[in-house]
Amino acid sequence: MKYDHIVQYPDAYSHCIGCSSCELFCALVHDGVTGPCHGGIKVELGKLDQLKHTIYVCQHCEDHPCYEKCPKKDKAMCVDENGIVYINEAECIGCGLCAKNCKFTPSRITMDKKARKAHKCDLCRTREGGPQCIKECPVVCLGLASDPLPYDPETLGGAK
Amino acid sequence: MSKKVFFEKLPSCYAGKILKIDLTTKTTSVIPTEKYANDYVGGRAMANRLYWDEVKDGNVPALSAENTIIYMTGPLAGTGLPYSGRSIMTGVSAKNIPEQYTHACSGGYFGSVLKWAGYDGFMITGKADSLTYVLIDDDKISFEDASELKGSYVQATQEKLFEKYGRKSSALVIGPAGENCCRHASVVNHADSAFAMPGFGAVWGYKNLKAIVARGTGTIAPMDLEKVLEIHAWRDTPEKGKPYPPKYCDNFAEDSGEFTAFTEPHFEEFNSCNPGCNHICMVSRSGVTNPLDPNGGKVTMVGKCLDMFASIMKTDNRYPIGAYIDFKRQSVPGMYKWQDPILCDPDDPQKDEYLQCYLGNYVNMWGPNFEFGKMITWCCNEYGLDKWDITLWLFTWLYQCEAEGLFKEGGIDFGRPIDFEDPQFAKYILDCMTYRTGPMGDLLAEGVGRMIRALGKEKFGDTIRHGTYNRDGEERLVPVSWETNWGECSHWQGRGFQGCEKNIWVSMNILHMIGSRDEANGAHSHDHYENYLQYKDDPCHHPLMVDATVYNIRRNEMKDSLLLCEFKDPDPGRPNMELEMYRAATGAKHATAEDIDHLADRGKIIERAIFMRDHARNRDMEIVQVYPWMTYPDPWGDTVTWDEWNDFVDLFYTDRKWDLETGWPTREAWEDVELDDIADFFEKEGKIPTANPNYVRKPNPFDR
Repeated sequence: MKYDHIVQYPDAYSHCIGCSSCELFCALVHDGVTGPCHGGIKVELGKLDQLKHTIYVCQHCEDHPCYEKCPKKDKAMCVDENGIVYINEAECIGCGLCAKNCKFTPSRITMDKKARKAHKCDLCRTREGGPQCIKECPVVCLGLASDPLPYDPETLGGAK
Repeated sequence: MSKKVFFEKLPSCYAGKILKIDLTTKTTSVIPTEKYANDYVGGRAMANRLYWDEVKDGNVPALSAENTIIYMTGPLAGTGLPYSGRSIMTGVSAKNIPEQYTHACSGGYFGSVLKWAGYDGFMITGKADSLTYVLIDDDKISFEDASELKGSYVQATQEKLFEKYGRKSSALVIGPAGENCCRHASVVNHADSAFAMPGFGAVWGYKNLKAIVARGTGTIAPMDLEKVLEIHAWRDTPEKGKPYPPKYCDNFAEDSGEFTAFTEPHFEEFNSCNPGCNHICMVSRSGVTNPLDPNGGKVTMVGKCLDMFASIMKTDNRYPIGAYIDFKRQSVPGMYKWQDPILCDPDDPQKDEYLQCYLGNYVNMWGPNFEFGKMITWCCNEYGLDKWDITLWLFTWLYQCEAEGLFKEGGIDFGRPIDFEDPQFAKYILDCMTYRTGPMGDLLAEGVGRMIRALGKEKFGDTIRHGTYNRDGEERLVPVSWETNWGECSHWQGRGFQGCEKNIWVSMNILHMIGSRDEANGAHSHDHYENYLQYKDDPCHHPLMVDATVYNIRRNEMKDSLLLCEFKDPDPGRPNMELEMYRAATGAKHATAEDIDHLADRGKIIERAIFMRDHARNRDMEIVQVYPWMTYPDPWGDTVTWDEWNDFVDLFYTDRKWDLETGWPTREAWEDVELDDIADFFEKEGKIPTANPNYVRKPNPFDR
């Protein structure tokens, strides 16, 4: 797999309908459950009078401060040969330093405080077929940053 | 007989608890979901059983501390299964006539969030001493002062709660209409997911309950993840799985035969109304000017199908026959309008017949006037009013009474001239209704049905409105008020609005009759085309028509119990969808399609038990509910006679093992669905009927 991250396409290309399928199915395929403390991608539903929804997900930064601050670096927080920053959950102690040191707001790392585990996007690095969130989005508003747009915007009949 | 066991322990698709909330004492307790899940699925069936068990006497006023409101999710909410995640609310309706036990269902995010907080549903009793909201924050339940939310609109209320509890929280709220106990008030979640028709917003308002907020950190898990993935990935139309950019929109209503220029071009968008849904609907319009904002801010307005009717009420819809009868017995009319195309097998020799399109009546009212429709739609969304009744009953009634000169004749003054060209007139009427202002405010707030009765139903309800025609130019005259059963507005009942064929409205009217509200919220009418060909000329005397009716009742019940979406259940491409989803969520691998129907029958008959126990329901009471409306001509001029209608009711009661004279289920009917305890209850009440060979049909009370 190449070094990459998930992006939300512009609204004019495909309007996120707010179904949260990306979030639910990320949690389901990784942890077998749904819930706000699971999964590595989050949908923030937009203001009710606008309905423009925002998807937050790890950018797999090259300097990855989450990894640098992890007290169990290379055991709990790891970086693979493709630059994908991922969590080895068995080793995670739930200290939350990764989430605190994420340079984005909101933090792209989800803390399950009850189970004392952190969750983040691992680009489905071990899943055949790539990221599940992209697969489950019914309106193709997610993709890999390195990929070209899957459909030609000119053929979609949207806003010009 | 013992009930079939579907699972030994509660599956992880349920949260496990049902919360009991007493607003008077500000206390809570818990009922384990496990007590009910195996036998009652969830949603409506579970709410019915809970109500039967927990509310010993439901013969109470809607606006009272004693009225118990139940909110339930189903096993699918939060699992990621598409078209699921909806929820249901039951209790004594404030709007329906008479006030009685009923239900409303809705999409929204609240149901899933509540399950993540650990609860499958809740019951509310009592009345708070001041405006309150209840916060369910995982296991921590608190009663919070809502005075700062007093009078705030539906969206502003939720935005304020988001500020406090984060955007991963979710709230059921009422707007000012609910606070002022307007009987058309809704309970709303998110942009426009509303428990609307029964006026539960008024009940919440009476109870001083402004909102219930949920925030959770727990989990829900379907038992068969691979099946969930397979169902979610399934795309039933080629349009899905493609990008949906906002569509530039400068015209609409071409269905009506008129081409309407939007006075305000904007973008049409689709939005989901619950987590995990992959069905593209909830039509909204972005970039429209907020009609309530003096600064003219731009908003996204969710109008669903109704803002079109609010903007133009000239012609009825058009209906291809395949919209409700097709080769798969699986289509719904709503899909044709603005969601999916009808899925006809291209090789089906009868394909052209399915697609024959009936062009609706000319009802000849207002519009096209986008600003007028926008005002109705936005005010309803923000005040927390039921858009359906407001658009299709209140405003059509106002228009038709004015057209017949009834207000002038009767000296009725609304405090402002009736003007369907002026959006400010629409706002004025909805302000009067919501805030009880103006000379008619209190009457408007009582709801259209009660207002008409107060003014005099014979004149203001039953006067025939002239100037309406079918597409062949023949007069098709109906009363100025489109009221039908239990104080509801006509919905798939053949005349006024939605002029469908006789077999459809006869079948739908059984659903409406044995329920307590507009039952077309769940099931429209569906059947095999070959059956339709057999009964279409005389639907009231054909057993296949009874079969179709029972089929639709079961779909309605199961849609509301699993909690699926009426726009996707039954599903055209997936006839066993209910069963597949039930199995995927609960892991009940040995459940069968027959089990699903059986569970539906059990849930439905408990509703009848509640009607009998609390509201003295019997045949005489219900048979007259829908009959008068059927005596007016449908688009083809069809009506029913009193004997025809009674013949069909006899066939239906006989099929259900209900007594012909009283309409009460026989002991066998209760025992068929393993409800011996309820049979025993009615035995003591003297309501287990025995066959009466001397039963004589009652004469027509409406002879005219």
